[in-house]
Amino acid sequence: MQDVRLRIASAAILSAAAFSGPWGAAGAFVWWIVFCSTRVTGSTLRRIALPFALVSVFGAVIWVTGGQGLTYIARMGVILLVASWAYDEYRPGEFLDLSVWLLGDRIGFDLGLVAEMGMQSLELLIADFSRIRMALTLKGKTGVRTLVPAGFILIHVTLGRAGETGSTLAVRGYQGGGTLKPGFRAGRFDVPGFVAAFLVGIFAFAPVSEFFILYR
Amino acid sequence: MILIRDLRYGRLSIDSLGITPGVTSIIGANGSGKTSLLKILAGIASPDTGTVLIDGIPPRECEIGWLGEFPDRNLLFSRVIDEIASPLRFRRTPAALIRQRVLDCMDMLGISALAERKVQELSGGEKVMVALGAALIGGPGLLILDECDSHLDIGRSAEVERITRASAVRYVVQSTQQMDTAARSDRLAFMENGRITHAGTPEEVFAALAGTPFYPLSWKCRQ
Amino acid sequence: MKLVLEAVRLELGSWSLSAEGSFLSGVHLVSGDVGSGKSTLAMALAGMTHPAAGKITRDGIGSLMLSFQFPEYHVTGFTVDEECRSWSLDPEPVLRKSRLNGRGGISSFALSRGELKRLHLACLLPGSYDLLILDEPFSSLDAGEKERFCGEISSRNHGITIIFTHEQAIFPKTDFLWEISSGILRFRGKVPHSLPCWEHAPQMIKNLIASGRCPQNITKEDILEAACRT
Repeated sequence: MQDVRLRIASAAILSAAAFSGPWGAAGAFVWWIVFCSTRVTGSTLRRIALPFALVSVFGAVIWVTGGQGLTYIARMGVILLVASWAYDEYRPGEFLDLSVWLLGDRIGFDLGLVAEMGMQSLELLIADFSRIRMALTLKGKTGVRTLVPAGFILIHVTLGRAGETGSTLAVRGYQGGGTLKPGFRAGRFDVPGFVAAFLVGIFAFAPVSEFFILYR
Repeated sequence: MILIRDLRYGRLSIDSLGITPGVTSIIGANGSGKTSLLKILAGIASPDTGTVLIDGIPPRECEIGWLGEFPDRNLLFSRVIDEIASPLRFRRTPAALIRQRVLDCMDMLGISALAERKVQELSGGEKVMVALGAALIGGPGLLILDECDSHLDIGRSAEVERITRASAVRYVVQSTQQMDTAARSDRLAFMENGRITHAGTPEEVFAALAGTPFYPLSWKCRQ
Repeated sequence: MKLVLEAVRLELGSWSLSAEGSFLSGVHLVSGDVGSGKSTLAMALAGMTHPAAGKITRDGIGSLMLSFQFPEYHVTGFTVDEECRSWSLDPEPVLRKSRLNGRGGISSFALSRGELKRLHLACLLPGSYDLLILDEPFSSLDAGEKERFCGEISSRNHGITIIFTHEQAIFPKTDFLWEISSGILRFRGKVPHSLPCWEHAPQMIKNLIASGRCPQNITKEDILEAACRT
């Protein structure tokens, strides 16, 4: 789904539908099968493997203690699939376009800027952390013993970079907000996908049983 | 001229310095105050006392371009065109003008093909070009390069030098640990312990630095 | 003692680097453009990452160390003294060598990057590693420090030292030259025979070779000696 507006709206509706109950989760899963399953890659599944494992642990605890653990696992699993799809479809600059379109060139631009800087920072953090762990391993520190020094180093490096980012913003003349004409792409399956997601939402939240009673 | 008078900022202590249009290199050991001076010229830091004027105007009221030591680690946006356009967007330049200026800038830098690319997927050299684009897009009167050549290969370094020379920037002030680069500057200033101990043409300054590691090897070879 | 690369292929997204050859005892200089893959290759040689294809064999190499471009990554001591001790070193001589006398009690993170780099190298170089890999060791050093550091590297007479750098002027005494270009690690050969085909050679070395005065090595002294020849 190339239009980020429709994509985010669809993801929000499908996630809410999946969370609301097993029928919503089923509807969202069917949506995912129809619109996303052909594009699933190994890296997508690897990315959700750990969160899904965590969710399964929580679900198992809920089940063992007499709650609806299995439906919890199923619902959260579908939410992870939807989230992963939304993440995979992300193209650089979209957050900025979306937030300016939604909230204007002051608050929207600032929020978009924060999101963009966050994404940049996250990529660098991951790279930094990987190298920090390697450096500590080389120094003979492995496992849990690396956590505290790695944390300190990461904080120091990140704070240093934050200072440089602040300087960059200042020199570039940032004073809040900015000019941007948002642009959005359109894909062939954007509208049908969104409409389908909307219907899943209605199906999940509308009082379907009352509808059938009235119909009878 | 850039005029500095009675500047005090931490350890930095400069009674008087004039920087003429052209390329000026600031050299010195680590901790000598080069970056502090550059930050004050850029308006990022404010002096404790003293004045800095760029053609009679304080730095914070001037258009300034800045390229730091690790330009590829300080990119703000995920898309190349957004990164280069950012100074214009921050200053509320009309959107219709921004796109054309960005495309012209990218053309000058030879990176037109990268417009829609994700910044993190670029090579290190390409990221430096993007950062340079963001520094030049606003048409700055002063371009500051803080040891950015420390982390560039010979080819990319030469390219940055060529582009900055060919640009319309009135003042280029750079700190560098490459003495051969400093030797090609129009003016030079050597800093030590927060003070400028030698300032003038490269010939004048390097004459005072003969026998130190801060004397260009290529000049020694010529002698 | 040798480090052998057999049909090694490193990949990162759409980028790839092919590498084949052997690093023998001595000082190896690997040059390449920014983004050519020097750091990625350095990590692979140190065994920190695995190649997508091929094999890296560390023959007779018992101990190894990789120094990253950013010295902060290696810090485990909260104070400068503790950082020295984390390398099993007595702080006093290290602080003297790195010109940080009297600052042993301050936080390691209060040092500037240049000071931290000096401290890191002063802690690292006394180690007698069989394989020492230095990724951009000249980064953040001033001209004086670069010369001092090159002197220390030149005096290493044990093991394999591999320096990844795009330094343009100041080099240690080097035994072998390598280059990364067009996605391939190329062995240029033993110094000085490899100097004429060194693509990333500084201009003054190229000029000397062009005038028939090839330096014996790439240190400042060797370049000056070649320049003085008639």
